[in-house]
Amino acid sequence: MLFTSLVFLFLFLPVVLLGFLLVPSGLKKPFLLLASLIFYAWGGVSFVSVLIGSILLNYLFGILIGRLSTQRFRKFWIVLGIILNILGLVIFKYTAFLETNFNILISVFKLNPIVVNTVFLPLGISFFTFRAVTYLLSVNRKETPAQKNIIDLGLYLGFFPVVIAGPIDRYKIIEPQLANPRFDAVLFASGVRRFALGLAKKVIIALPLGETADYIFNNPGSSLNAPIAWLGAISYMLQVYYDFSGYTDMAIGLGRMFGFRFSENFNFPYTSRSIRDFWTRWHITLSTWLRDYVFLPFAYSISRKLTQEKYFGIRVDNIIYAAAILLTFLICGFWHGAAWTFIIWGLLFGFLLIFERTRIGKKLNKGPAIIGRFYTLFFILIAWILFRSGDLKSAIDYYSLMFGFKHGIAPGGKFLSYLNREFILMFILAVAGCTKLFDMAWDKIQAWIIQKGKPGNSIVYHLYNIMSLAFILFVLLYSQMTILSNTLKAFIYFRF
Amino acid sequence: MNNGSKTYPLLFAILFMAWLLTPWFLDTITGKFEKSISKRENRALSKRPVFHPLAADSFPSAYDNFYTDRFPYREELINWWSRNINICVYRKSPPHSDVDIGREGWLFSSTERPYYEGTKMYGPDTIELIHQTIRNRVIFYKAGGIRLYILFPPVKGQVYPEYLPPDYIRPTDSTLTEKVIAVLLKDTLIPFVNVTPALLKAKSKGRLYSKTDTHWNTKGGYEAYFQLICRIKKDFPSVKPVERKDVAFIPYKLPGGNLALKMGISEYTTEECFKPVLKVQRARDGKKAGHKAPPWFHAPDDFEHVKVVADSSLPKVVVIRDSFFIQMMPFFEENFRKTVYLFDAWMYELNWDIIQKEKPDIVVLEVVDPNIKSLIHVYH
Repeated sequence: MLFTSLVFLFLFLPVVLLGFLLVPSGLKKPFLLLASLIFYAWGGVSFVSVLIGSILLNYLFGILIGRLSTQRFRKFWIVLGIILNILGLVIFKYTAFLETNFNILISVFKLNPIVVNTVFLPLGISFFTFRAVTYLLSVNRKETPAQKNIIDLGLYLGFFPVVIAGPIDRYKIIEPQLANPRFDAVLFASGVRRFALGLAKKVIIALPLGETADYIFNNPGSSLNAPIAWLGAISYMLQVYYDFSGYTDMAIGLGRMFGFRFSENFNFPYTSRSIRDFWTRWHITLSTWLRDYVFLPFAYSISRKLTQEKYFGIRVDNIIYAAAILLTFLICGFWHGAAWTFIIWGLLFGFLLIFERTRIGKKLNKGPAIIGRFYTLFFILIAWILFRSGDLKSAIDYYSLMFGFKHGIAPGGKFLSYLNREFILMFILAVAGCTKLFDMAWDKIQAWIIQKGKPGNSIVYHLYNIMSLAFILFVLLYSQMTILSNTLKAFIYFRF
Repeated sequence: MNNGSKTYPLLFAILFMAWLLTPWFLDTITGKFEKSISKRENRALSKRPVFHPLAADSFPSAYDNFYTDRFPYREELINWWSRNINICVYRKSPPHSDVDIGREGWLFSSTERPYYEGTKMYGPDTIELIHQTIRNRVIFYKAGGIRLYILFPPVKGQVYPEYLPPDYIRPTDSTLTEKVIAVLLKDTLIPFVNVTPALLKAKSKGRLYSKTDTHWNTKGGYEAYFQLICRIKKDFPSVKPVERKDVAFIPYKLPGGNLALKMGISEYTTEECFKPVLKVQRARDGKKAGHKAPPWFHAPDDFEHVKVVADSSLPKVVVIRDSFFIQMMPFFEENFRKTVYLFDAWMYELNWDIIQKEKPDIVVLEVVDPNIKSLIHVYH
């Protein structure tokens, strides 16, 4: 079920919110877990078994690891638990990719290809698998006790606001919140605001940007030329951010409505001054997960094996960093999708991060902010083309269009004809929203209100709140109308 | 910003819940959203699915469709939004409508764009395959004593390029249809009727295509008819074409055509249509033979139509057609003792069983430009 579907907004969500308010506190968590399973089932009823299987598996492993006192046994069970989780992910997400590439490989030796039955991808498996690994490691490191209540663990892994697209919160952050989720008017109101903001980002801004990006990316052979290709790439770059950060805002907002506080996932990533900076601002819960569970352990393990100060004239810490960062971003790319484009996308970031450790890279980072930002945005844009393209050939074709090495069959397409009023308006809003402009303006308004009089007493304060209410209502209605407008399915051949 | 008071947070919560519950409230109170056909969208609305454990996976999407289709005031809200926001404010066609807004209120189907721009092209082998397929069909019918005539109605942009959106690009080379037509015209065995030049010439006398619809109007249909019937007359002299002076085109207004409908603005736009009134109208409804539509065909009532004229000197004809022929029918059926129209859902099959039963003198194959390639799908 998508957060932007009518069924979710006007059927599922009100029922679950009312149910949450009305059921006794002892039944709130089972109620939320049941709602989450229904939510998950909407993406494929049979996939619920995968989620339930993951909950049961990690519940049992958590209990087992928590009870074992011998380090050796714990290590065995934690490794086995992680392997089983990752194995599930590999089977469901990477079987087709591995099959295709294995067959290409064995075709060199003229062997018959292997045929594997099609495996469908359960929604959000990448997210709940990483959450499960976090849980097991948290228990293993004794950061938290093993969860004895399977409903609590079920909610951590499968709670509907986060099951499909995160944030990938650490178990130790969520565990205390699982004790007693309850309605809190102030938190609920902030959740509503955040949810409305996310809905607007996803529906009002990302959708028209995505329409233009799709239109351009899906017609690489027609009237495209370099300026139009750049327009498509920039539109897509903005669409990705508003779509994903919008979804995260909605998840955080929904969490607050049910008394949970999820972690932030974005912090103005397109204002980054370097790729390193970017990965501290983009999909933060994933990048910190990868840092803590891949980069640092791997770097630590190889640092113990490399005893010399230099290898081939390169300092050992640089070698360790390069190896660990490439592995981390290889996994990062592969986690995003089972295709070579994603792997190259990840490795590109890995190499850029290594570059930033070189003398030139360090100079670039210390140089004027505008140059750093330009460099960062340029490579992020280049990377998103790989992310958007179905295969390497399409990506290379698109780069060729962007840099003027080729053009479409009829390359006279007019740049301005791609810019309708809605696109222009949303593009301006999107670019402004990538910066801290709105936040700064908001802060100034609030400071001004405080200056004018005590909050709660002044007319300005009431006016501010009423305007906020009106704005949220406007955003919700505008989003609703846009969603409805997208459901138009008129049948063209109607006169026989 | 909060001072510790819960007044505004509660107001936020109430407002949000009210927004979420309004559709349910409207549905329950008014209870008038159980209709089954959307006239505006010209389609059957999704039915409430029944949950069955063995087919559980298909239930969510079916329920999604059902809920979306029956959303209270959905059509009214979409149309209002399309008209006032998408068209008036943003000047764009609604998402997924596949409609491009051209100049001076002309609408174009974006799915036809590649055929105009020549970006949907086939290699010489495919073009030759289309040629040979048509040639074989001519020979096949001829062996049964039947003459086959072929025409391809051009898409709107071919006749009215001046109203296309500015970003439509004409190819420097010819389009697929132009290439196919060039090959067909060279083959003297194939009685191909190229109607495009006549339409381009006649458009100065009056509008031949609908502004808000993909199709030509009855005036455009007449021009195409006249080219076709003149070609048939060469082989069947008893046929007497309906002359232009013998037809009065009476203007009347209808809600916007299929493109306006796709944009959700059909009710807010009008299309000026022309009802052809013939000086002498002889064709009457004939008895259908009851030819069986293919089982997958969604509109079996449209599969067969029959018209008859009480004049035994005239030939019999079977027309394998799509929706473009509708505007030619009032004139065309005047020229034949019996006219059987077959609409086989854009498959353009040989329909040999039916032809054998009907025993016509003539078969007309009418294929709208983008569907030309369907002809080779039939055989290969």
